[in-house]
Amino acid sequence: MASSSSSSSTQVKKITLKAADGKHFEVEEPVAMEMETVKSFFVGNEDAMKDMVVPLLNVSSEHMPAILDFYRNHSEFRKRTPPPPAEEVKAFNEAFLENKSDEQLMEMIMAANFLNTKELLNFLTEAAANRIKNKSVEYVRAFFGIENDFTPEEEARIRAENEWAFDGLDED
Amino acid sequence: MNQQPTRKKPHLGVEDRLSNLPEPLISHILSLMDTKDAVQTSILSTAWRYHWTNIHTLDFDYGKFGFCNPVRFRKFVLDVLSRRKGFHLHKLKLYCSGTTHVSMARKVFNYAKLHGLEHLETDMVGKFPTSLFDCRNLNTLKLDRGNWRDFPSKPFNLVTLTSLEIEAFRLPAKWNLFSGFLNLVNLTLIDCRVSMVVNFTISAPSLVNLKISRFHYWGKKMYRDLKLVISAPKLEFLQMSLEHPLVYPLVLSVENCPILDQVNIHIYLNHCGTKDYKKRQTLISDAMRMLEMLCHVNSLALSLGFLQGKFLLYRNTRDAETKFVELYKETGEEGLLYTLPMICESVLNHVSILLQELYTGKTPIIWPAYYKNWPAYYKNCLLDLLR
Repeated sequence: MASSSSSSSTQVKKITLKAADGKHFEVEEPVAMEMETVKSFFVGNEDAMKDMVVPLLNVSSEHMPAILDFYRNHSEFRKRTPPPPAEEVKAFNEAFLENKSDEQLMEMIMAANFLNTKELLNFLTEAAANRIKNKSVEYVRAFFGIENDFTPEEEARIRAENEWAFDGLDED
Repeated sequence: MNQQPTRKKPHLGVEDRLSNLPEPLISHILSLMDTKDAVQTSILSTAWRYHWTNIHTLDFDYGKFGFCNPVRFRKFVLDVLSRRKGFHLHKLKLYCSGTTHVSMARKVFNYAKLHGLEHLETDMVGKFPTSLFDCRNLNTLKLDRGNWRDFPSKPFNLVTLTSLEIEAFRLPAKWNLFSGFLNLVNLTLIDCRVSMVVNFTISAPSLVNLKISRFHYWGKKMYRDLKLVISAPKLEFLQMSLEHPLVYPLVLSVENCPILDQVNIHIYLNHCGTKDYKKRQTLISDAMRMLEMLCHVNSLALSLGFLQGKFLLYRNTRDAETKFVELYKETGEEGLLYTLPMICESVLNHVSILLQELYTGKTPIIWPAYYKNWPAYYKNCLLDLLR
């Protein structure tokens, strides 16, 4: 891992990140380096550390605090010996998702994708899958605001095409 | 355009949020669902019609298939295979819940093999499909509900395999079962039975994590001297969950595991008849013998689950004191009963004597001198619990 072991605990190096809407965030270096996108910004460019502001074009400031919180907690989980009990990680993850709307979840997936952090992205995509699992087609459509642009004939044809998938499905 | 003044959306359209995700992310999300659910998204809109065909994971579970009959399930599975476009298949789950689909399973496994399958979980283990044996990319294999069939005695040729989990298989005695898995790192054996044999050897050159649950004999007769020999030069973590009376007696040999670091042994005695003192005594002495073998291990824990409560004997590092605690069911907290110096032979003897005395309920207990400062209160609590 490239997270430099800066033992100077008195002054943790900070990196300034700029969200899509222009808001600045001061982030401890190791936390910022969890994001591959930020890390690649600094690779081979050590001087840049001091005062450069890293623009994060696809991340809205609304989601920055939560995302940073996720990195901080999960990197702490990873470092701890013995590893934290599964319940503790689960409790954190559940609390993380608790008040997030589907829309916020999607935006955060885009953000995690842009930041190129596998752990967060895997976690969020899993959460998205869980939210649409076992839901009827009509429900999923309404849930995510997908507009049905099939004609009734087309829709019937596709249903017939994948007949076995629609077997026994709730029609509400 | 649909506008919501209360929330800023600098980068996303309001409509159809999920469709705004890049294709690989959508197919990744669909891959995390049951395949039936994934196929259902074809009806969402024209844009969604073919997203599912790029899924990298196939998850077929007859048990979750609703009220469909086996014939429909079979048709669905084969239909999906013929319509899927993505080339690389990362993971396959195929659970048929006992409905016989041997020819279908063969087709699915062949398809998986051709598409570079890496991860397979299945309960279709009745007639071992030979195509499984030479999946060149397979790294994770989980074989469930073996119904105590014989684990194939013909050696696998799965050198790429790093994780193997098998449930309810009968393990052949004479053949060194896992030595052919040259890169196996994680091995989990659940509810496996061993035929009449004195020494059963688990030998794997790259094994790091070994978990064994409910390891027992085939048949009714128990052989006193079953010895589990673990010969794994890279083994670091060993977990054994044993359930009385199926487990005992068991002798463990870990002489060929020089870097074994952490060992957790759970023994559950919930089904143990209260009067069977002799059995309990044997069990305790076996457990102590096991611990003795493990004195060189860094972190060591033995938990004993009784109907009435749970006790734990553990130390976190080699130099740390060993704690003997009671685990409270309600709060999950530990109540310290006693602190012992490092686990070594003499201490174990004391613990063994103590536990056996507690078990047999013999009174008066002759407490080893070692325990003379053990508060009477705890002694009585222990006695009450164990009776």
